Amino acid sequence: MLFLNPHLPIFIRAVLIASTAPTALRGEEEPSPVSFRTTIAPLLLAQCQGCHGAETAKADYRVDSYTELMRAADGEPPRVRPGQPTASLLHELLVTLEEEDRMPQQSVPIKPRQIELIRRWIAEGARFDGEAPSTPLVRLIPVRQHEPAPEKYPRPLPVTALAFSPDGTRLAAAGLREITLWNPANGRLLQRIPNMAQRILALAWSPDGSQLVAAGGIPGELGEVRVFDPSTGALLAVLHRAADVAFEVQFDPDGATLAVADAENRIALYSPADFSRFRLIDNHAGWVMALAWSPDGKYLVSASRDKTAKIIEAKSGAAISTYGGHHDEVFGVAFRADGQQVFSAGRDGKIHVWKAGLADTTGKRFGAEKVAELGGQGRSTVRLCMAGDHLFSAAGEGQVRQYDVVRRQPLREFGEPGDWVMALAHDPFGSRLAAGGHDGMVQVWNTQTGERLADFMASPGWGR
Amino acid sequence: MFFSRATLPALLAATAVQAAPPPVSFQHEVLPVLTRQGCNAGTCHGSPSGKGGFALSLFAFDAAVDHASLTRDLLGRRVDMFNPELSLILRKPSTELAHRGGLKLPKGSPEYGILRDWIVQGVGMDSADAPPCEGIEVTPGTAVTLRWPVPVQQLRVTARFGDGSRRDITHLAQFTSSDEAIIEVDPAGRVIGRRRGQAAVMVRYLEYVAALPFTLVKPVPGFRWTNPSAANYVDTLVHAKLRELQFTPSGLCSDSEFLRRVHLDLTGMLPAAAEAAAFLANETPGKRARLIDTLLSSPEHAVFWAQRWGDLLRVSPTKLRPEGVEAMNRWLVNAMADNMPHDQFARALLTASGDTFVNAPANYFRAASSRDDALETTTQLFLGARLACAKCHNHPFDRWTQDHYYGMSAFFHRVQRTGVDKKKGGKGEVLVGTANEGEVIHPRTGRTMTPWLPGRGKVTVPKGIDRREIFADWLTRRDNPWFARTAANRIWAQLMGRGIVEPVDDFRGSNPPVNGPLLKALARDFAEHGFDRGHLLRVILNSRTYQASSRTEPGNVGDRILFSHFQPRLLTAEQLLDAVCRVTGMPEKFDDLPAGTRATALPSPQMSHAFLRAFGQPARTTACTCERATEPQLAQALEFLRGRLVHGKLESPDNRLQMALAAGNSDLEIVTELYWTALSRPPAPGELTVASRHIAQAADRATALADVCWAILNTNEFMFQN
Repeated sequence: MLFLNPHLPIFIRAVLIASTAPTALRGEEEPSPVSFRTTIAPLLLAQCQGCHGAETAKADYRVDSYTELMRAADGEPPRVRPGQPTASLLHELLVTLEEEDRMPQQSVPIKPRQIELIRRWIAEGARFDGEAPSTPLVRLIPVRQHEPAPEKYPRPLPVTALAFSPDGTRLAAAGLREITLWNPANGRLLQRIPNMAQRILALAWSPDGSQLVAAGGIPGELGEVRVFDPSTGALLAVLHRAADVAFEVQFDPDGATLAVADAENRIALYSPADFSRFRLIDNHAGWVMALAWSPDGKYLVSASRDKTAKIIEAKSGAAISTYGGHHDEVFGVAFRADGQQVFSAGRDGKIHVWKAGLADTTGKRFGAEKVAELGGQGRSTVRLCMAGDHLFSAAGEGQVRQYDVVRRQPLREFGEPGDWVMALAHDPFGSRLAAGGHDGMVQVWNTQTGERLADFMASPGWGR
Repeated sequence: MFFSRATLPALLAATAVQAAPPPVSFQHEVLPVLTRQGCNAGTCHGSPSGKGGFALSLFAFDAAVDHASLTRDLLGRRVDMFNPELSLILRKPSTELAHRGGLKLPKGSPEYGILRDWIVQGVGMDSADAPPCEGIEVTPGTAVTLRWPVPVQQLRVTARFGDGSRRDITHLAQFTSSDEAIIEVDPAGRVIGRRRGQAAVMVRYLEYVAALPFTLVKPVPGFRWTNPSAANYVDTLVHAKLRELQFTPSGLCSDSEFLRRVHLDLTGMLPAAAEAAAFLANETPGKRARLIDTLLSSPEHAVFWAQRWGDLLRVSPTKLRPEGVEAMNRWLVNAMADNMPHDQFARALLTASGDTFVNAPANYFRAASSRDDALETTTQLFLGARLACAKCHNHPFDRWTQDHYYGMSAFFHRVQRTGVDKKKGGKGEVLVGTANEGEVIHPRTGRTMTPWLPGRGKVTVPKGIDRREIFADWLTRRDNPWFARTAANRIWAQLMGRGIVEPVDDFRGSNPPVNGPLLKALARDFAEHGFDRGHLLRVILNSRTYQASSRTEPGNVGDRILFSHFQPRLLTAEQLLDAVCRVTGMPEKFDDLPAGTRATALPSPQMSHAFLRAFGQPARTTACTCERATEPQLAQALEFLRGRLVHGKLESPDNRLQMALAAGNSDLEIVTELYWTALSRPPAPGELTVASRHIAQAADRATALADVCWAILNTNEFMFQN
């Protein structure tokens, strides 16, 4: 076990810990004192938080942070009494002979050596060894080391994220616990970057090509945004963690800010230079599914399951305007090149065009105002992306549609009817569009002619 | 590209050497598991907006939507084909991750296994040419009587498929009991009798629903059947059921109870004091039967029963305008007075066209807010089926599907209602007619619906024929099992206070009749006599069952539903108001209606009448008998304790008491008259003593008499029909 200075930035700790999974889960001998952060917290998270978290809180007891774990309910003794395991309900309910009372209930039994670790931790004073006792366990525990990707995929992997490198020569795709890089001209596999969580839901290259960022996680369990060096495949930082997946990551136009969105309803802004977080925006009431930067990099538009899209000022984190015209979940957003008009789409199957409601020349704000509706594809719209005056949408079907936003007309359809398209990306010149499907196929088209340039299965080893 | 069945074996061969498990069917296995575990129930993910951001179709009626929701929605987050155990649809219901719905899918259970295998195999959808399920069969297939001491029965459910194959799907079916306290059923389909009585076990698989009636017979110590006599088949069949479940019937009610009971049921009013005295003094045999005949042919009977139909047909000025109300009431009263056969009655309403102010039955379609409403009202009134659920999804507790709903709605889809322009002399009437074309489109599948009838299937209606005629032909056939049964049950319920099927308009397998043979016999008798309402009334009214005492015996204390004794019930709002008026001698004057109009003859509800509202007079906004409130209300007690209406009448200088005092009647005469009027019997000696003492001690005789009258009005004997 390495000694870790808790004041080190998280990304450095991430690298240091990469090879040391929580030992309690592996059942090895544990040195004294037992660490809350590395030993007890992972145990609580895996075994107890399902019923005793912020969401459910059975018996009015939560274990999702040290503060909550130690909190005494009104008129009751605390469940943990430092130094006295046998007087601590937390321990007693693990060892009681009364089956009806014994924890965990309706779940896999907790192992005797894990109970022993909890007993020792309480006996040794039940101390906290992290930074802030109120930190949710999921962000307190050491960064996880994920299983390696399979060498050969046993079946096609749904492609849930794509991103062109700034020079347009490489196409990053969501792999299984890895990022895969492909030659978009011929579908040849160029590189595999491991050490990512189960799923990737968004990918972004820094404008200079030095960083490749992946957002994703394990549904219902973990959200992560990780930064890699695409030239070496090295993990540079675990940027962001959440209790459920991260859905989005977007560099601003000059690469100075990285915006992240997650299923904890949050938007976070990071500096890619030192991986520090400088703003946490918490004004959505539902998962934030997508983000887009305004061309000048001053504003973000966000899409949320709370049935709204918001314009947010990056500098202050304040919501400038809220658009509620969908009356249903919003999954995709895009800014028009003039920075004034916004496109959003979601479960209602229509693309709404609205004014961003930014300050006009007199400084007066008007709020979000609907201007028009593009037909959409009549089905839940999964993704939107914007290149110049062209908007691309993917809905719950096999085809991708291209719109001319000046004339507000559909221009062309790409692909054939088939399984859902789940990822869209255009190259930096707007001349090529890539789409990834639930069937594992990636297709690349010329956006001017509609010609298909390449199609391949983005699942290493599959079909060979 | 979906993983088709054809590619699956190859796919699995590439990953594993061991034999692949048989492919799991999404529609025939996965969805039934979700239904069985309660995932897609209306209170959970089956609610229109889902739960916790995850929505399924109610009881899996839309397989395509459910498949997309499980495998594609939110970037496919709910299933993981690469690490199936990481799938949210396994981790949450097994409570490995927080799940507000609790433990629904224990890890290691067969249901968990089915979902996991389906994920392992690639979350496929059944191919379009997979043989569909065409129905289920439950073994044993008939009504089951469980007997103590081993009241257990295992059910087996078999599904039939389009290719002729059959499969045991007991482990995929969902079992529910209509009354868990009497008959319990476990998830494996094992039925256990708990308490003496009857209940239905409903079996659901996909859109197929079957229901089996169960009876638990448990010997009652000391039970002895006394062989009570039977007046007609009603008694024979009621007694058979009572004997089976070991209850005894009560004896006959007294003459005064019978007199009051039958008057209230047939005319809505109390018998007059003189009539009561004469009836009790009469000692000729058969006087009860003769009274029944007399009342059935009385004008008050036609008016009172017309009012009951007015409730169901929503006869109110807000819907029909005053002219429509007047026309409709005239028509209903005539129909009752002429004892119009029920088939003609239904046909007249269902096929009516023309001006609603002139051709009264056309108001049937005016009262309906839409064509869908017309369909739902028709099935509720004449088929005893609440079809409304099936408009948006397959009926949760019955065999009605969305296809049935829209297939039947095709019969009413061409009905058109047009107002008449004021400039062209219109006075607010509506013209009802039918168009020559127009088809129902199924909202989910987009298909054009062919008219469909239960028990008949799809129907071709020739051009130029009003589809409603075809519907009425089918409805009123003597062999239509639903029509006669629904009508007979309604008539029974009106007399007995409770239907053989209850609620009276909610016939379904999962809500079986408490006495099936009785309902069947009544329906057959009704149909065989040309749907003669008067005949059926006579049969029931002359039975010992109707004439049974409301007092229980040790052998039937626990029964409230098998008709072992008469169930006392609160007079309806209108009956009670008329009774108060009769006893006080103070008629009620209603706005805009001629003086002397009785509450039981009101043409439409008096919405601003506090007393009538408090006692549950329906506003006539729905075609449901349930709109009449029967639950006791605090407002009711207040009306009698200190309400203006009751006290106004008691304190009026014109009331019965003041008239009697002015005529010089003695206290004894006045109190005796009150008892006969209010309760159809003379006062008992004890009652007289108490009343006389109170009057003697009082300062003011008139006030004291009013006190006695008030006391009588507050007795259960007065307020209830016993």
